[in-house]
Order: sequence, then structure tokens, then C-alpha cells
Amino acid sequence: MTGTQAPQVARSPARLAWRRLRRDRVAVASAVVLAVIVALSAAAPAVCALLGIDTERHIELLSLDNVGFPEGAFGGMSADHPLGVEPKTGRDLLALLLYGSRTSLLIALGATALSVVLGVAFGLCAGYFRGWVDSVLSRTMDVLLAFPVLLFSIALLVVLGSMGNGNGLRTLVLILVIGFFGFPYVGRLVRGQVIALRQREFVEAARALGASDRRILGTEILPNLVSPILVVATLTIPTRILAEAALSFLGVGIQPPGTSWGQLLGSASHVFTVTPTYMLFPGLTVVVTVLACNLLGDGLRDAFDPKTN
Amino acid sequence: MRLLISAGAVAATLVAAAGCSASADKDKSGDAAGFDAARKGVVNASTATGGTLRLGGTSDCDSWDPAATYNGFCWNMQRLMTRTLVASPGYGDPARTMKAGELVPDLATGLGESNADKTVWKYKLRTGLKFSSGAAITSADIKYGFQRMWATDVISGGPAGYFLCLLDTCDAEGNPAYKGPYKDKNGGLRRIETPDTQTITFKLTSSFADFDYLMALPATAPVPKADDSGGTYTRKVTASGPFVMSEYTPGQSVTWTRNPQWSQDTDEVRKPKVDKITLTLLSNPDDLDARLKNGSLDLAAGGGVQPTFQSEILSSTSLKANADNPVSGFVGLFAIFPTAPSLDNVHCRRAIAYALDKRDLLVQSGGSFGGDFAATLLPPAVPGHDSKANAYPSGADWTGDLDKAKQELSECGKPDGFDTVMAYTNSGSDPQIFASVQAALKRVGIQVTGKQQDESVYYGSYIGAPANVKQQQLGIAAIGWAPDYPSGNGFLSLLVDGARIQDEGTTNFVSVNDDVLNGLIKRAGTAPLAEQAGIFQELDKQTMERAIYIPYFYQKFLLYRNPRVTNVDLRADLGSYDLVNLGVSDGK
Amino acid sequence: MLRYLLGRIAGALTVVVVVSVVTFAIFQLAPRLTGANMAFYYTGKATSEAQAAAVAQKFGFDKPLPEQYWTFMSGIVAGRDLSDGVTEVECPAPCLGYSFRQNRPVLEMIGEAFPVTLGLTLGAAVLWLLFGVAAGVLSAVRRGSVFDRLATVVSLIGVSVPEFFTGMLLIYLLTSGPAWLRLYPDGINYVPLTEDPVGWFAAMVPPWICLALLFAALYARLTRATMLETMNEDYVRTAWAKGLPPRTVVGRHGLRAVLPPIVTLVGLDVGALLGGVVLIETLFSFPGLGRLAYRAITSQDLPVIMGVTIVGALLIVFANLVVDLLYGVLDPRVRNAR
Repeated sequence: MTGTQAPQVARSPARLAWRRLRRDRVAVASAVVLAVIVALSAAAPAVCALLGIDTERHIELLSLDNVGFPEGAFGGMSADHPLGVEPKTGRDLLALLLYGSRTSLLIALGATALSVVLGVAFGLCAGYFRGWVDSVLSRTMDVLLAFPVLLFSIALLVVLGSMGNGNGLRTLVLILVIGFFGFPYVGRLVRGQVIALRQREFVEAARALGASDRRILGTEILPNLVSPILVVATLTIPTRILAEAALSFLGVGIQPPGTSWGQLLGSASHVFTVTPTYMLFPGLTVVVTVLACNLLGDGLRDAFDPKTN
Repeated sequence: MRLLISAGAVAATLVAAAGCSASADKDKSGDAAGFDAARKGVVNASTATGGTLRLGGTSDCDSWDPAATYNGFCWNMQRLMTRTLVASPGYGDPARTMKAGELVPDLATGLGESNADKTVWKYKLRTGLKFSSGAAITSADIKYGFQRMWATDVISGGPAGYFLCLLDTCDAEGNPAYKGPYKDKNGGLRRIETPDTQTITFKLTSSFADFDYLMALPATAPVPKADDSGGTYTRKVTASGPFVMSEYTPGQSVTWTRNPQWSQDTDEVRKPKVDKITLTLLSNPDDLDARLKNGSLDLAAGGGVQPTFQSEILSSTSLKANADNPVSGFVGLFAIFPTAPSLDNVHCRRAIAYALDKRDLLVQSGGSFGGDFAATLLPPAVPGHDSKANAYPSGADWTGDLDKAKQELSECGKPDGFDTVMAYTNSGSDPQIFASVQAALKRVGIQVTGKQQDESVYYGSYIGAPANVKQQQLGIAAIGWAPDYPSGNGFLSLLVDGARIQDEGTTNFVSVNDDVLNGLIKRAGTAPLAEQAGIFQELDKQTMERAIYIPYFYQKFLLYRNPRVTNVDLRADLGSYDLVNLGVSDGK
Repeated sequence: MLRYLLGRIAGALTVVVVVSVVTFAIFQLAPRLTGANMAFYYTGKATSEAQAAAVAQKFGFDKPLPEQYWTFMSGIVAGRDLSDGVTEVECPAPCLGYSFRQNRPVLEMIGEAFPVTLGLTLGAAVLWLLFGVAAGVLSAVRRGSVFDRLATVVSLIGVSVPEFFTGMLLIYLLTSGPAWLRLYPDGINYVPLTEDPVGWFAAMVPPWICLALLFAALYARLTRATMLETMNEDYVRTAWAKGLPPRTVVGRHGLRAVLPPIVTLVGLDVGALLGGVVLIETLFSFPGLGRLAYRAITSQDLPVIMGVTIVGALLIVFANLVVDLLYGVLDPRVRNAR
């Protein structure tokens, strides 16, 4: 016991949290699942090559007499196409899922990053400067929170989407729209944390020493926000995934031949009573990813702030 | 010539199509219900009257004003309430043997009598004709119905294009001198003469051998001047047919009841059975299918069922027995623009024709119940269709002949292929059609990039404007094409007539001005009807040889009928049921 | 209390103004920045150049921006005359625009769709509040029990499944699934309440479940956490110590503490709920506001998109105001503070 005294003093809160996190089996399992999903989608071309699948059309697998639905049971499942093929195009569903993950995750991560950057900027300023700055920024965030976000996103995408047909542009617009409407949640949280922090001794001390606002924000407050930001980011990703899925599901997001989880679910929504597997696999992928993110986020929160449980 | 929404837009829009493969194989055995029974004869023939026919649809008509609608489904509905000088026959009569493109007199006592060069057409009206208002239908009402079409600022959207310069003198820009009855209160169209209440004579500006077909378009229906409410006539149409619109909630429902002024003695085309017809508009096509299946609706007023229900029908014997699969008359085709780089060479154009995967294209268009493979421009229903011709065979399985395509590419001097741009609309299955073309042509090294355009401006100012086609370097364009009436003149001439090249809204999309093609069109203008089929067959062959238009499918509809509906027969000219003669067996 | 009330109402009005400015910006400015065909956007029809000019003139696209904004706003209050270049129509006040595609005033369409959406949301809200709070209370009371753990797992899955995926699964199982589950062989079709109350209820149950599942999970987690916190408070311990029956302790002290955060959350969730309604109505094809918006999007019928967006925003603002006021009633600390 006494032997462990010395190292314990050296332990930073982050390392303590890391230790707690490693003991949380659910969180670790979720992290592993997420790592696998991210790795698979990042390496989609290699994985597809390894499995011998691609996103090419295989019209010969579709029935001419049955409206272009795949021949055979379970959406045309076979050794060559483990999850079956897409109606009307005969593209391999597994390959589409893998490539679609890239788009969905890119949008989710991009939008989360945007939300966090905007949220931290707004939250820091509002919480630190208080007064009229706080009033203006907080009111702005409150107003945004009261918006019918999905309706506005749809409207924006319709208007902006008319600029071009490319999915590259659509991806960017999706990131901007989803990211922007998501920032007030982060902003509110950061603001609360900053208000608590600015009363603390070390900030007061820095201020007494004549440090500039910028310096106090940058070197005293921001580093202490890392863990709550990490937690809120992890918990934000799933809602961004669901937002992309919803918009693409409605047909205002990613368009075929481009693919994303939401786009696949949207295409499936017209035919799923005939080929349920075409809806099932993309749906389950979304559920597993979102669930893993939520569990990991909960784990992180508990690790950083054991009191919450 | 009317355009259909888009290649393979199966739902909602019907097409004014031609003559009839549907009725060609009609036998007189009738009554045998079962799959496609209505193509073979009358299903559930019955003389029982009374009850309500419940129709469903997915979109309201562009207009219920007969002069302002250009939609096949609405033209079919017009038959309920408006009559024209001549009409497609009522097929409900099993004694009649149908011929492709046949017409019968309706308001007139006979088909039009013309002079030798087909510039003067004369019709005599039946006696005892009455509007739903009680007023007699006279030649002046027919003339007034025509005059309204010239008021293009009030009445728009109909097939007025046929008449404006045919019955009036136009200036160099194609604008007629007459401005319609609202602006020109005294004059009127001088080229339409009504010497007495029963006679009407049309004096055309040029020969028009197909004039009778134009007189069967709903836009030529009589309109009484006293009831004309201009742009809002769509809300209250005065009926000349057996049904009159009694309630109308735009976008939601329409109800027709019997027109007491209409008399069976004056009408050989219509034999109405029911007392009332309702049209329920549901915005979701799958919802419509569900109601057809559970019997709460009798028929869909326009277009076929959705893929999900289609799949269900085809896999169930009992459902399939209540379904029919007629040809709609609509043809899916591609324009190949010689103005694009590389495509000025006919061999490069032919390479595209050989490389297309028509099996893939048919899958995108609804499979074998959504259409048939097409190898000629004229669809089966139009006289002149050659079922044996196939200028560019795509192999036994219709997936394309890649060897031939590569051979043509070498002859074109581009053995490794080339880059080109394809235009398509954002509606129907057009995006999927594009994806199919892109994948198929890639097989021989032709790289296609897409340009999508909103459907409402696509035909008029996008691919219909030669300058734009050139500027965008368009090489291929997806086109949905359907004849307004069953004649090559109303279908093929429009696509290749050198005289039709104009800055905007041309139908000669590829801007072809070829002496051989122009000569054939000129010959057809005055040739007797008997020779027309041969001329158009030759025109089709010559056009295909130039590889400027490549057809890929003739559309078919999968229609579902409630077993309680009687006297079910198909209107071959529109690929839909002849609604006016239907009855219901339970009298409800 | 009065001050609190006035403050809240002022806040709501601010939101309304901001919403109107943003809507104006999205629909009147953005299309022009992207070079869209404005006449097409507003009439949903192809127009000739002369018609397009008439539309631009009628809608005042050439006027200065503040004037356009004023026209836009005053039109809502006072009504205005509109034209698609062919037909002139009068859009009576309150005018939320006129759909030239459907030939109807937008407000009329919204009025028709609103009851469907109201039925969906209210029913779903009742379901999720009932189940969410009940599950949360039970979990908290029997902390660590099998039920508690099961509820935690179910609620975690609940927040992770997109409502449209639940919807597709339900539709598949209920219409095409195994025979014993095929309760809706003819499909799940909306019937107006006034026509057939039983049919209405039957049709509503599946979408209610989809929407409620998503939210019930959140509420169960919140209720559980709040209850646990409350149970540790001194006054509750005292109540226990006094030997009061559990029902009284949980009911009187526990639930009272749970209500304010629940009410707050409801206010925040109205916006998300409206989003869920768009997805669910589209999937089930129920003729409510969400589907109206979706149909307008696919047919690019801008006046309708605009109208539904504004009404949606107003509904959210209104719901938030109600929640704020309720909160004031429930929690005296709020109305006395400041």
C-alpha cells in the first residue's frame, strides 16, 4: 500500500479516467466495435477486394419478370453476395454498406467537429465574458434550439442542392447544415462549465497576475474543458449519424449512385415489403454504430466524472 | 405530339398512344376473366345499370378544361363529360373488330369529308345534341371551343400547337393573328365556317391528311359561350357527354353524376352503366394500391400499379386474374446529338446503339411487365411499325453487342472510346436510366457524365434548344415520347422534320435536316391513308440508319381491376380502361 | 409571476421574429444566390419568359430587401394577390402563400393536415410519458433489480434506433410478416377520426409506437436519475423513517421532483418530435403536416414548404411557451427568482 503512494500523486485526472474507462467492459467493447466499423469503412476498397465484391451493377442477378427484384431468396443472398444485392441495380449490398459507411461517418464526424468548434467558441465567449455578450450568444443558441431543425435542414438542402448534382457538394452541405444546427447543445454545456471554472482559484490567480483574456481562455480554461468536450462530442456523433440518415432517407441527402446508410434505407423504404433484407442490414448497421457510440459516451462520462452515476 | 413525363415514369401519367396491339389480338370469346383478359375481350360483360364507380388517382388533372389538358389520363376522363366530332370507338362492343387507329363519328354524322389536297374538311352534326345546361349543341359551340385555344394568355397547357398556325395565318415567329374570343369579341376565326347550325367547315393553311385524328382530341370539344368562365372553366365544365362534374375539390376528389340532357340515341361511342363516378385523389401511390387491393376502390384512373403491388400481383394467382398488361404507347428512347464532339461521326453513334444494355434499361423501366424491348422508333400500335426490324441487334439476351460496338468505334477512329455528356430529367426512373447507360457504355470505353435538369424545363429550353445542346456539349439525352394520335405523322415526323428546327422548344432535338427524311415527310403529308404505313416504315428505317435516335422500350402498364367491375375493356389508344362504359355488378 | 410570464412571452416573440427572418432568407434570398429559377420555385410550373416576369413583378423580387421582407410578413397578416403569370388568385388573410401546383391556399392544406399530426403527436406523447415515467420510477425504486437492468438496456436500444427503421420493421411485420403478426393485411392506412374512430385508433397505434419508443427511453433514463437523486434527499429519508407507506413517499415526494425536469425536456423535444413526424408520416403515408412538407419538397412546391416550416416553427415556439408557463406553476422557485 505505502509503495503505491508515490506514483499515485503523479497521476493526472486524465490517466485516472483512462484507468476507469479500461475497467468498464461495456465501454471497451463499444470502443472495439466502433474501431472495427471505422477500420472497415476506411479500408472499404481493400475489404471489398479481399471479399471479392464490388459496387458494379449485376443486372443478370435481377428478375426481368419481377420488376427488377433480385432472383432467389433473401434479396439474392449467395456466397458471392453475402448480404444479397440491391434491387434494380444488382450492386452488392455489403459493398454498398461498406462504401456507404464512409459517407455516413464522414458526415457525422465532420458535422460533430463543426458543432464542437462553433459550440466551444460560443460557449467560451458567453461563459467567460458574461454581460451582454452572454445575453446575445445565449439567446441565439436558445432560438436555434427552438427551431424545427429537420424542416429547416430539408428546406436548406432543397435550395442549396439545386446548385449541383454532385454528391461531393451534397456531402459538404450536409456537414454544414447538420453541424450548424447541432452546435447550441455543445455551446450550452461549454458555457456552463466555463461559468463554473472562471470562479476557480487558478483563474482568479491568473487574472490577478494580469494575464490577458485570451491567455486565460487559452491556457487556463480550455485545457480543463477537454474532457467534457470529449464526452459531449462522443454523445453528439450518434445524433449526427441519425440526422444524416433521416435527411438521406427523405431523399434530400446523398443521392444514388452515391451511397450512405440513410440513402440505402431510403431506397429500401419503397420496396422493403418485397425484399426486407435490403432494409434490415443498413438499419442494423446504423443501430449498432449508434448504440456503440452512446455506450462509449456514457462510459467516458462516468470515467471522467465518477459522481454522475 | 405530347411528351411523357419521363422515360419509365410508370405512375400517374398516361400517354395518348396509338392504335392497338391491344385490340389486334382481341378475339370475340370475351368474358373469360383472367390475366390480361381485357386485352382479349370484354371482361364481365353485363347490361346491369346503376351503382357508383369508384376511381382512384395520384394526382389531379393539369386542368379539367378540355382545351387546357395535355395528359393521357385526363384525356381518358374527358370522355366521360365531353364529346368531339369524331372519337376512338367504344371497345365495349364485342361485335366490333378493331383496326389499328380506327376512328368513328361522335358528334358528327360521319368522318370528315376533304378536298383532294386535304386542305378543306367538312363535318355534319347529328341532331338532338344537348349540353348539360339544356342548350342545343350547334356548330357555333364547336367553333367557339376552337377559338378559345387562341387565347393562349388565358387557356394554356393544351395541344393548341396543332391548330394555331393550321387554322390561322401566322407571322414569321409563329404567332397567329387571331388573339382568341376574350380579346377579339367580334371577329372570330375566319378559317372555321359555320354556314348553318349543323355544318362546320375547316379551311386549313396547309395540307393535313390526319385531320380526323385532331378532331378526336378532347381539346376540340364544344364549349357554350354563355358558360365559358375562361381560366376557371376547369372548375365547372359544361358537359356534352353522359356525365357531368357535380362536385370538385381540387387535389382531392371529383364526383360525376349522370347528365340528364344526354341521350343514348345520339351517341354510338358511349354506353354508360353507372349513375355516379367518383375520383379520389391520394397523394401516395402505394396507398392507392392498398385500396385497389382491398376493394375500396375499383380502378386506378391513370397509370399502372407500384413495384411493390406489382410484385405481389405477379406472385399471386388470384390477384393476377384481375390484372391486365396493355401497351401504353409510350416509347423510351435516346437522342444522340451529332453536334457533340466525336458524335458527328455516324459510327460513333452506332457504337452507342450497339453498346446499350437494353435488358438493364428494361429492368429500370419496370421489367417485362413494365414494357417490351424496342428496336424501332414507331411503337407496335402505330401503322408502319415493323416487328422484324432491328438495325442494331443487342445480342440474344439484349445486353448489348460489344464486339460490334468496338468495331464501330474503330471505324469511327476512336478504338479506345470517347467522353460524352448525357442529359436526363429528375423525375421517374430517369436517374436510374442514366446510371444504366453510364455503366453499359463504360464497357467499350465510352465515358458518360450526367447533366440532370428539372423536367418542367427539360424538353422546352434544355434539350429543345439546339444552342444549349451545343453549348453543354450534350451527346445523349433520355426522351420519353408518345404519339397524341396513332399515326407516324403525330410521332416520328416531329422528331426528324427539318422544318421543325427552332431556337427553343423544337421537337427535332438532334437538328437533323436531311433531304431523304424531309422528302418522306412531305410525301406522307398528302398520301392516302393506305400508303402512309409504308412511308413511315421507311422513315423509321432511314432514321435508325442515321443512329440519331435509339429506342429501348415500349412501355406497358400493369393495371388492376376490381372483380365487381363489369364491361371492362381497354382503350387501346391510351393503354387504359374505357371508363365511360364500365358498370358495377352489385349495383352499389 | 407576471414578470416571468412577460419575459417568456417576449422571448417567444423574439423567436418568432428570428424564425420569420431565417425563413425569408432561406426561401427568398438563397435561391437567387444559387441562380435558381424563382418563377419556377414559386409556381411549381414551367413558365414562359413573360410569365416569369409577371411572377417576379407580382412577388416583388426586384424590390429592396427590407420591402420584400415587409411584403412577405404583411401578406401573412393581411393577405395578398398572387399570380403564376396566367391566373390571378386572391390569397385571403392569413395568407401563408398559395400553391399553384395544387391550386389551393397553403393555409387550407395545412388546416387539413394539422389534425392528423396533432393526433399522432399527442398520442405518442401520452404513450411515451406513461411508459417512460413508469419505467423510470420502477427502475429507481427497484434499483439494481432485473427489471432495472432490462429497462436500462431497452432504453439504450430505444434511443439508438432511428424511428423510420422501427417503422419499416413494424410495417413489414404487421403487413407481410408471419401470419400471427399480420394484423394489418391491407396495409396501415389513415382513417379520419370523425369517419371511423376505431379504424383511426388502429391505424395510429403503429406510428405511435415508433415515435414513443424513441422518446420513452430518454424519459425513463431521466426519471430514473432524478428519482434516485430525490430518494437520497433528507426529506425523503425522513418520510421513510416516519414509516410512511412507499406509495406515499414515491408518489408525493419522488414524482413531484421528477415533473419539472420532464416538463423541460418535453419543451426541448417538441422540435425533435416534429422531425420524427416528418419521417413517420412519410413512411406510413399519413396525410399530416410532415407528409405535406415532404410531398412539397419532392414536387418543389416552395410556397407549401415555406408555409409548413413557418407553422412548424410557430408550433414549437408555442409549445415551449406552454412548457415555460407550466414550469412556472410547477416550480415556485422559478417564478420567484429574479
